Amino acid sequence: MLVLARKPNQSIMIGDEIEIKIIEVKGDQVKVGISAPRLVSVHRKEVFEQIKSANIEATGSQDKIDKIKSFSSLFKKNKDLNEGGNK
Amino acid sequence: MAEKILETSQGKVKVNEENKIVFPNGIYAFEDLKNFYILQMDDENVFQLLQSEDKQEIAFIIVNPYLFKKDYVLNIREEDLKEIGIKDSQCAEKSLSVYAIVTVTESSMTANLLGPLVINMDQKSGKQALALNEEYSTKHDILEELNANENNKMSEAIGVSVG
Repeated sequence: MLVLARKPNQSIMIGDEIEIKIIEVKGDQVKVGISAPRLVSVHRKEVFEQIKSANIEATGSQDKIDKIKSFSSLFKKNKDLNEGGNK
Repeated sequence: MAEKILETSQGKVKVNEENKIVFPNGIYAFEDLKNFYILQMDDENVFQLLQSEDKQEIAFIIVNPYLFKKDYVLNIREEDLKEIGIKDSQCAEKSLSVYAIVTVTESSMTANLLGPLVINMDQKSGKQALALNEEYSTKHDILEELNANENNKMSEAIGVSVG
């Protein structure tokens, strides 16, 4: 990993289009500004990690599937209520 | 019309290859799984199974988020929709389906609204997107949301935030 020391208001360019700018340093927190083309998606790493672990936890086994089937009737009740409410 | 038999954890299931949905980038943590089928799993048509073709012991329980959260808003990057061939709102209305992956544990049933699945049903192309709403998490309690709907107290129950 390349490590660069930067001060507030200084930037790093990644390629010619992505700019990472240090906005503010306060205690143990750093505020970072990111300018990137619309096609580049920018997210905090924790978001990816959360979704990955949620996906792993969600893989369905037979007992989970059996359990969820018993919940379907609750939805039907709710759907009927909602539809009734819209009329 | 090619029919195919999948050996799923639910037993043998007959599918039609025409209905295969391709996730070109896979699903997070399962990037190598690209080919899926949506299987019905109950008479009420509430929950479905997103069944992997590549690894047939893998399936995800999915649900339409609007069924339990009436004020659900799909807020993702336009580019995510373009990737699956949804170019505008007219196209979205016609072809876009949105699902949340459901996690079932001993004591709870939660839906992942942070990483919704978007599928272009016409082109049979799907993607797991990332919600831009900071208040959506990977674990929305479905029964709690349902109760909130019934009591018309929707906004109160949505207290889960992402750090």
